[in-house]
Amino acid sequence: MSLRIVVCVKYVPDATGDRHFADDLTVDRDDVDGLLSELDEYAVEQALQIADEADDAEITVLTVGPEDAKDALRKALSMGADKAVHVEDDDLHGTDVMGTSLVLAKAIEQTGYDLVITGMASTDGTMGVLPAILAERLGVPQVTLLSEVSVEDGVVKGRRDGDSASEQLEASLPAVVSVTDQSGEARYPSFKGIMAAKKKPVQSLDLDDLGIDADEVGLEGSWTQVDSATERPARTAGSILKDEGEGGKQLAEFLAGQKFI
Amino acid sequence: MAEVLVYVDHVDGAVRKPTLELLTLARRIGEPVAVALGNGAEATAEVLAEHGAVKVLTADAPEFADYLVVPKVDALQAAYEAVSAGGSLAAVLVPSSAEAKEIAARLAVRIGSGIITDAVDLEAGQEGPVATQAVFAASYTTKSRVSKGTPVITVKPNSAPVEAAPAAGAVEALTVSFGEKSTGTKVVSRTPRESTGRPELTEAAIVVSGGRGVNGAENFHVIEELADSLGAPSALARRRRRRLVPALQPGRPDRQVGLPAAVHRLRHLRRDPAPGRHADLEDDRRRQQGRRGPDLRPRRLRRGRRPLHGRPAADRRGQGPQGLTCASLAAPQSAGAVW
Ligand SMILES: Cc1cc2nc3c(=O)[nH]c(=O)nc-3n(C[C@H](O)[C@H](O)[C@H](O)COP(=O)(O)OP(=O)(O)OC[C@H]3O[C@@H](n4cnc5c(N)ncnc54)[C@H](O)[C@@H]3O)c2cc1C
Ligand SMILES: Cc1cc2nc3c(=O)[nH]c(=O)nc-3n(C[C@H](O)[C@H](O)[C@H](O)COP(=O)(O)OP(=O)(O)OC[C@H]3O[C@@H](n4cnc5c(N)ncnc54)[C@H](O)[C@@H]3O)c2cc1C
Repeated sequence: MSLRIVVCVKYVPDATGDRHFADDLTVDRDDVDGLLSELDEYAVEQALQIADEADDAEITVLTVGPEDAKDALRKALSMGADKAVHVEDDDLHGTDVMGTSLVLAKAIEQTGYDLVITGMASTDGTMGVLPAILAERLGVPQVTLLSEVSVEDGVVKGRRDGDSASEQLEASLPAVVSVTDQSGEARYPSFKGIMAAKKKPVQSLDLDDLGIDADEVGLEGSWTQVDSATERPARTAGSILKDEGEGGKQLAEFLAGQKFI
Repeated sequence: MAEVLVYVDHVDGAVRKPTLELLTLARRIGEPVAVALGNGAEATAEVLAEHGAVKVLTADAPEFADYLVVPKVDALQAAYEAVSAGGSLAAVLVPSSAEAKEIAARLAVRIGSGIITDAVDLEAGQEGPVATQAVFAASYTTKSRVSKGTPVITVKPNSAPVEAAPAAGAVEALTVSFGEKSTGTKVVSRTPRESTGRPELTEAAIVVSGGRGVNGAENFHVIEELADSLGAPSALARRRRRRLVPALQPGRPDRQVGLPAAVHRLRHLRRDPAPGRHADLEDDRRRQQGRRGPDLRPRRLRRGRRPLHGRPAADRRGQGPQGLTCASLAAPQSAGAVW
């Protein structure tokens, strides 16, 4: 039986670009270059490796995002995923993590799954809680923050490097897994992969298709509210100490002056 | 007065510092009621009472150690129900550790509440607690509120001072019944992390960070010595194009600060400082090679050229007699240096 893997990938503003907020205090995703969240590449990579080990597997990449989020799906498809699902709806603008997870959960159920793989956090919201919420909503085991993962005979195993201990985890499929950047370097798409990705199917879904009311999501349906966003004043340059025999002493004086010591 | 539920992060009864900071913030909003779970739960009461907990709800059961996250969600939910039944519960506050964040998030779904993660400050407000978040690598500061349900808010380390505020800290046993989903993910084994003897990078007030300026792995000891003399953790300051690591990633004895990441690299550096195989240099080489070949990706998929920022490498070489070119210090909170 085929192992059905769904990988959640987020399209995020480029961290090296000028990330900022729009007038309605949502992230400006129009005027800034976007890309597949770098931490989600690790999720795609682990999906590909698990699929390689399985007799038969199919990888669907799923994103909830604006039109340009197709770029993130294309990248994941060019890395080797089989098909893509894009949930896009103007009413989704401004959705918080509760709404996003609701939409993802419905889309995952509709797609059909044995294993959901996500990144450890997005590089824009950086909440790192969506995988846990997905597991709660789907009612399946949460096997998160893995730096090592494998699937065999319907069981997912992995290593979670926690705050105070490293844990070996085990759960039966279906399950939600999130992987860290320690799980293994993500591959670059090959030329062949990029060409092949152009022919892979991308299914578009809107809120109606998922049976979700517009007032459950978006800015209005959000359970959190941002009241203000203030840009931080530009950083002032640090001071450079040149070590001409007194460097250590000067450094110590600097530290004492700043009350570090 | 309204009550505030505070989830306690502790290791076998030893309360971690961020939980004490959380009590300071909780007292701005109401009376802190602490929830401590697992082995050593009751032993947390004394220190929690010293810092303002009026009550400490405790529970211990093998499930907390044997299964991941969900048993603790069941318990926190039991505490939520017990306290909210008694009157006004103003908020649920949770430290921003990786596990506690997951517990908070699952509780929020269950009780139909919004969640704010990684607050760096918290004040009482007309329409509930107002959280300050530092976002986009701390280039923006936002103020937000939870607008539905009982606010669930996770707070980053170093967001508030630890303050003595003696309170009753009465221990009460919490009755928890575990749901059928609580045994879904089995913890087969657990290896405690080796202590470096230094504070956690994510909890430290001072981080000593070094990078290319120390001119090679073999010189990194100057950073470590300085770190030790300040009682601070050391870190590696360097950017790495493909790795963006959020602040509270678990499992790192020492880590990188700044855009990119990671201690395991530091460890490699220490173990294998063979000339020419310095991780930084390897990285530079890969980066250059990446630039040399034609970019076959479609235009839309190409990443913009990333400016190599900072001074040219040549500038940074050349060590002085006291073994230093420069070193950078950052208070994680104020400088937003660890994220
Ligand atoms: C600066 C900032 C702060 C925010 N703070 C809050 C807050 O405090 N509370 C709140 O409710 N919302 C908040 N949001 C909104 C929230 O980020 C989005 O709703 C988001 O889609 C879910 O959170 P995340 O991206 O942080 O997810 P994370 O939990 O960090 O993401 C983990 C993984 O989930 C998957 N994933 C996440 N989003 C998507 C997606 N759209 N499509 C497919 N897969 C996805 C990816 O695999 C990702 O690696 C914030 C957003 C920003 C930009
Ligand atoms: C979009 C973007 C956002 C970023 N946001 C953050 C952020 O919020 N917080 C953050 O910490 N980093 C951030 N960075 C990363 C940061 O700018 C540097 O890339 C990182 O600190 C590594 O510095 P480096 O490349 O100069 O390091 P290296 O080349 O490894 O360091 C060179 C030498 O200079 C020293 N040095 C570096 N910086 C200083 C300093 N300020 N004062 C004195 N000595 C110094 C180092 O100790 C080292 O000896 C961001 C980068 C990008 C691209």
